[in-house]
Amino acid sequence: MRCTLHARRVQFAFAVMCACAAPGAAELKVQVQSAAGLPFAGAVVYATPLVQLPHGELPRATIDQVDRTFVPIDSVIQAGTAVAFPNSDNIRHSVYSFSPAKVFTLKLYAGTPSSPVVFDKPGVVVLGCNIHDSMVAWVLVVDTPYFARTDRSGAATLANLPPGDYLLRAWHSPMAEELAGESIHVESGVQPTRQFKLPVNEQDDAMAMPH
Amino acid sequence: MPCLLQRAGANLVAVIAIGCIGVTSTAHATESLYARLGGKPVVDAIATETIDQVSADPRLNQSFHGSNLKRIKRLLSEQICDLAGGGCVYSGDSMREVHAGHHITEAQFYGLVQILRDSMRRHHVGLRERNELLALLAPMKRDIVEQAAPPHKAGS
Repeated sequence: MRCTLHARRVQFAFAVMCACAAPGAAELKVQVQSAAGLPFAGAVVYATPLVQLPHGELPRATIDQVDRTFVPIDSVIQAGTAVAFPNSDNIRHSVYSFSPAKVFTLKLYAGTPSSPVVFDKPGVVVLGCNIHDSMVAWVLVVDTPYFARTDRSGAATLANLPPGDYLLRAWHSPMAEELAGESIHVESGVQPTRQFKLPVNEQDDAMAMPH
Repeated sequence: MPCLLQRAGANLVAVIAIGCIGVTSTAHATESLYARLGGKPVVDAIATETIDQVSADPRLNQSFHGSNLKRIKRLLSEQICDLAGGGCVYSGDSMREVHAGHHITEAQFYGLVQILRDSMRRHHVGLRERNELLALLAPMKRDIVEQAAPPHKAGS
């Protein structure tokens, strides 16, 4: 049973356990650094359980095309999510990806709504447009509902984690691949803080990564 | 002899100076227009020059911003090859789909035609072949030029 935590900014140096957490639930704080050693804001932190549980219906995600740019440029979705490509530009776009996690091409015509694309495999998906080669976006597809983005201090907290074994990772664009990650065993209560250093910096664009 | 002008439709505006080009269906084989243009090297060069010039002209280039020009040149060359009997099959999208939403004006269409014609002249394409190619491209005007003033949309 999930407990809805009303979010409050916790300024303490250590995490505070929610009084209404499900019995046995764990709380895990992760600190993410950039390649330059600075706190990385907006990084995705995700814990993939060793034992996969089936998920219920997932809410649809949206990646729009506005002024020949993908919006958002950077998304994280759970595997099985259907992504809509609305094309607010009203000119033709041809969205594609060659990433192994999702190979597809979707032609978007002005004034013609398209069907959403289901991203069913975990991994990093890099999107481009065949017509406008400056358009690029990243989608991290994760096989878990336990993910969060780091705040300005580079910290994120995964709350209400059921105890068990997980593969813990962090990611941000323009990383084309996921990290090897850290295998962790999580008990109930507050867990020791984990650290990650990403091979990219916050301002890096696609040119920074070898491909 | 059938007049090519009739085939292109009555709404062809006479900025493109085309006479009635005789299309014969006689026994002897006619070299394809593609061959008479000069084949792939010339058509590739014309497509490249035309797109380079149009995409650099601020009066004509609003639809080219951020576009993959190499791809456009390749597809234009392929389209000419297809139309001019060069044996290619055009693999791009229709002119209507390609230009939808880009608000191309009639003046801009003729701007491109002029650039294309000048490029052909520079590559020593004769008057007859220039006119033949332009006649094949002329019917596209109704699919390329925006037909009605777009309604004002919030945020567009």
